Amino acid sequence: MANQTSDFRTCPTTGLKVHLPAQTLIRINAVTAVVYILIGGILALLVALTRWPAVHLLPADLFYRALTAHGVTMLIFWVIFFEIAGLYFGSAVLLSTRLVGIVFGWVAYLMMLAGSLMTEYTILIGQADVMFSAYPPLKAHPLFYLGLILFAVGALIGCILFFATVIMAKAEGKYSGSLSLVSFGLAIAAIIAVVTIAGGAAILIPTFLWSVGLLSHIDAPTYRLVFWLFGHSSQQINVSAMVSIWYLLAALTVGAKPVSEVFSRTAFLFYAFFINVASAHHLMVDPALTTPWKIWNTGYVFHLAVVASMMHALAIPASIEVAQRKKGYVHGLFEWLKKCPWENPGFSAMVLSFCGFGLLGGITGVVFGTEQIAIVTHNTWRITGHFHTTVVLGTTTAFMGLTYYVIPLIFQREVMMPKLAMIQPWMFAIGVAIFSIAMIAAGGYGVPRRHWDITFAGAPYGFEFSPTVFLLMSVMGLGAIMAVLGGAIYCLVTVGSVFFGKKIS
Amino acid sequence: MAEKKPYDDHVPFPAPGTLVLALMFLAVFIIFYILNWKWLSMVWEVK
Repeated sequence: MANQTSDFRTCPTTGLKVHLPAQTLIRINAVTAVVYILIGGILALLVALTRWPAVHLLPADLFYRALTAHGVTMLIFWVIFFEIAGLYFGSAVLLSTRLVGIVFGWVAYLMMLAGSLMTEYTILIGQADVMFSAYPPLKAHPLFYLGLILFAVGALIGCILFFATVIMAKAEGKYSGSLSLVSFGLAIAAIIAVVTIAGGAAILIPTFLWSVGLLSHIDAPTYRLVFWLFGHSSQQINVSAMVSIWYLLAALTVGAKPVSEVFSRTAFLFYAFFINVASAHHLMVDPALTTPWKIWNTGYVFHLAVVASMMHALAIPASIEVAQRKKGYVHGLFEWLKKCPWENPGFSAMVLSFCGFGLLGGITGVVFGTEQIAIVTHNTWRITGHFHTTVVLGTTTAFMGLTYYVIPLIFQREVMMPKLAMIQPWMFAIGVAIFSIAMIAAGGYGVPRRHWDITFAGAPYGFEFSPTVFLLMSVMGLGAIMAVLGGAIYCLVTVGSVFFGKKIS
Repeated sequence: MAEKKPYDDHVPFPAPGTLVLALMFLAVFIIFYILNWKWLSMVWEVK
């Protein structure tokens, strides 16, 4: 089918041709993502205020319910709805072409929406207090698993549409040579997503059959092994998408171009081949797996993905520095950095995401991923602190930064309340950094993760933590409040802009 | 007029500031890694 001109508009700022049916799909996926981050943020506040011993807000049952809903909402629904919007953007919009299979795009969206609502519902009515990992023999209501399966299949359709659009664009001569670096990174994210979803299907379908009584049992060690191909790899989709967004934001904010395309693309390829092995670090104290398996995966293969992140960590600031120096900011080592557009929320979000992910998340991840050290960090709050610096401070902050460009480009609205938008990434990222560092430090004292009451009040055998722990947990609570306020400002500015922002003709 | 170079001729790397930041990152990484081994040795003493 040939492109119909009436289905397109031309962006006055970027010159990109935007496929209008694709634009509608991007909008609906992005809005749904923001609704889920709002729900996940409220749940985050409830969880944080319960783990803050001085407040201890929720009773035990509601705490575990809120924690399960928070994990699933943030780790799956918020990021994947946003990523599907990103895949449509990275294919149809960045390549100035049509999105193939619009009808299937809507089917994918409806499946993801129905699946996510089904899962949320079963959690909120108390039929799935099994945490994000849902390890057997914990058994949730069948709708919990069915919802996740529906959601995953919907997301898989979204990935297929991305690949189909890229292939069709090539066939129609919309681009020549290789994909742009951003689209290439998103393609790597989509490849990781396909593997992730296959892993999810491989374990969630039998678990669903077990929950309805058609299978007599699920082998728990097998579940743990295969689940993390879904549970952790879903976060590796984030990593590749986030890095792609860093390159995009660097280009949009300071006009940066990759110093070496080959270097950056090689790093992305390393992700495709090696990053899913990072899932192994969930299993380093698992008695069902052998020591050589653990050492080979986490001591060797996994580090090729770490090298990839370090390559991006060198390539992106270097591209910004070169772009800034071309503008004449050549004095000293850091004039280029000082003269960056720090008041631009797209730029500040990118830098905060970059520093948070690399300096806090990356370093702690590699260190905690060392087999010997994992023995004392596993199942402590250090792990929770680590993944909040990667998934929240890294991925979520980058997605927030991109939103400030998606609003004018896709929603054709000006960003409202620019002063609030300017401080939003700072408030959010600093809040996340505070509570994550407090979690990591408290975890160093042995504070367990996913625990309702570390004082063991009323238990026959108590345990007394150092008083420092309680100070750190209070700092965590304050940081969490700051982060949630930053997240609330994000929702206010984005939703306000989408519905009430000044229209851009 | 020739285009202004983004860096001085005597600087061999086009992004010297980035190189310094990368070395600082590496230093933090090494320190944190060593500290964790130190903490591990304190918790789990080998005699």
